[in-house]
Amino acid sequence: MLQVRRLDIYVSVILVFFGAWIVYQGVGYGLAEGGVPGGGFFPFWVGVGLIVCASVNAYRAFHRDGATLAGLGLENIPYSEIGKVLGASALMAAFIVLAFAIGMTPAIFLLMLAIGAVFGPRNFRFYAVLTAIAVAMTVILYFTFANLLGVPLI
Amino acid sequence: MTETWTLLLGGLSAASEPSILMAIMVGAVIGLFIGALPGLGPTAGVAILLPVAVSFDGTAAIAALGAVYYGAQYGGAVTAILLGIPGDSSATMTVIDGYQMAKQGKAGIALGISVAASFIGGLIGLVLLTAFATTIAKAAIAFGPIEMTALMIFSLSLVSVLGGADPVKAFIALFLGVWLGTIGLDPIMGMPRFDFGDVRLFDGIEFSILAVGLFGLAEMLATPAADESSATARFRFRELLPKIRDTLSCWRELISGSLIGFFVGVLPGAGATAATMISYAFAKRQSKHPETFGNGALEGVAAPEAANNAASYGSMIPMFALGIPGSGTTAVLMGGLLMIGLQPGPMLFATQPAFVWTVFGSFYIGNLALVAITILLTPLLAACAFLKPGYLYPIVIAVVIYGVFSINYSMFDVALAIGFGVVGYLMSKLGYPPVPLVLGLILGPMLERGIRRTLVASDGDISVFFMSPIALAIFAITIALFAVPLLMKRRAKAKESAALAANA
Repeated sequence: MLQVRRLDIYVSVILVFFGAWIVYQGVGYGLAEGGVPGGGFFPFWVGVGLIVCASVNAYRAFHRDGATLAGLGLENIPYSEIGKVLGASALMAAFIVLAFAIGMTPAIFLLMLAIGAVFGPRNFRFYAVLTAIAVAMTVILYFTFANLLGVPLI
Repeated sequence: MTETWTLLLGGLSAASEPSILMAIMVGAVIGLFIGALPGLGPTAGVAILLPVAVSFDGTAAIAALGAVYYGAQYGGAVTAILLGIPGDSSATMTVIDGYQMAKQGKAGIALGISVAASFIGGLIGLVLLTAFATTIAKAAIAFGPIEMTALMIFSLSLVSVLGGADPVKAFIALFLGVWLGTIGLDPIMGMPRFDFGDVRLFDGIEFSILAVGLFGLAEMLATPAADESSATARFRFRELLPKIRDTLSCWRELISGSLIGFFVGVLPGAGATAATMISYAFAKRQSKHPETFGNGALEGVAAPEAANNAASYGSMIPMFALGIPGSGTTAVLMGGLLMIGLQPGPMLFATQPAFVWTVFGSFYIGNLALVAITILLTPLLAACAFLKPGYLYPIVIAVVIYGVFSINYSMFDVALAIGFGVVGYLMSKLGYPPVPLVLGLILGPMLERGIRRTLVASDGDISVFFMSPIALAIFAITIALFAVPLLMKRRAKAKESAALAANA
């Protein structure tokens, strides 16, 4: 299980550095000229706000225990769930690469089968129905977007 | 006023012609489906239908395009409730309680109230449009950059109401949203900001891409894998019908949401999204049980749905009466008017009264027709939503990907949506509310433009913000939004301490 307390601290620290980067970029864009806010004015204050709030959250997260977090509805995350999230995201990213290689229409059919395998049970009946749904959706999507809406699919 | 209603009756009669009725039905059905598609909103719907619609007769063309607009408002709520994906930015607030209701097995009740709220909001918006079009248009001119800045500050302060239980994380999400809104070309100086050297970011982050990632993909990623034994929900057609009892129980939120939606929608640039956020926050504030908001409160669906439909008619006032498009959708609608040879503006009412009142009449007919169309089509959409995740998610992800791709014909947008999906998943696991992020993305750029334009015009003199009575009134309401709950809390604590001391 990934401890959500630890993740909360790490993310807060990253946000503090991110806020500092935004402040630095904001100064580079120019804060003001002749009393008039420049392009960096808003990003500067957004960065400052992020640094302050993320620092407060990092401090709070450091001093909280698991029971408090559970009371706030924040549960530890099973590694299997993280694997599923990364897997599904990787499949969608792979679709992008595949679409340029074989076209969007075949690629979306394959993606639907893969996503179904991630979220669904693994038995023959499920895969048979999923394949039929994937074929139907591929045709519907092609007809709707390419023909009706005139979208130039890859 | 009598003349106005006489003209409207004439318009209703003219709009009842078969050709115009057909145009309304076609536009409404297309709008409903487009509104339900993540990534495609009313602006895209109106733009897509524009080349087809202008080949109709002039009045039928605008009636069809208008029907797409308000049809999309109905459709956006369907996926917001059933799948937790806002079809358009104005359906974002509907997700908060509507999707929770669906998870609790009350999808039918949520859909029913959204249809009723959309109809009532649309009807109130239409009545106000009919009665006050020219009068309100004159008042709307009084809203300049200073007043818009005040309104945006007020809207952003709603994070205190909309941000959930953790204000620190709500403000972090808000700041992230405002930062996302700064990506792209600086609106005043024109230089690129936070573009990471990629020209595809010059136009900034499209809201639809963020919404489908943050709300749609994130929700699916957070769902555990389903097994064969999980039962699919069953529903009856009657359960999907709007119930009078539910509608009557939300009468306050329906009226307040409609009024807020209409008057905010009138303001050029404010938009239906800001209207839904303000109406939701107002409903939560006024509720005797504010703790239910965010957990499946009926009022949490009624208020924003009434607001976004009323706002769609409010936004037509600047277009028809002044020739100023109040939103992206009305800008495209205005293009349609120009393509059929009509110049929107004050003279349109004088030179083409029959056209204007027939179009208004078509809006009344379309608003009523959409109730029936939505009720008839909702079981089909609801059946899809109750599929097992193993079947449903591949369908939704495929539609989302195609919808996002169709915005700019770019896989870069699809990659962004996937990225936001992962961010949204992380936010949900760590307790960061997504609504403030959306608030920041949409309202942040408007606030920045308002402040900087005002200070450019006043040569940096900040006192101009305090010279407008309208702006001062809005600032006062904003301060009251923070101060009053704090004072009431302090008073309650003092009373509690006094009671404890008395008992001791």
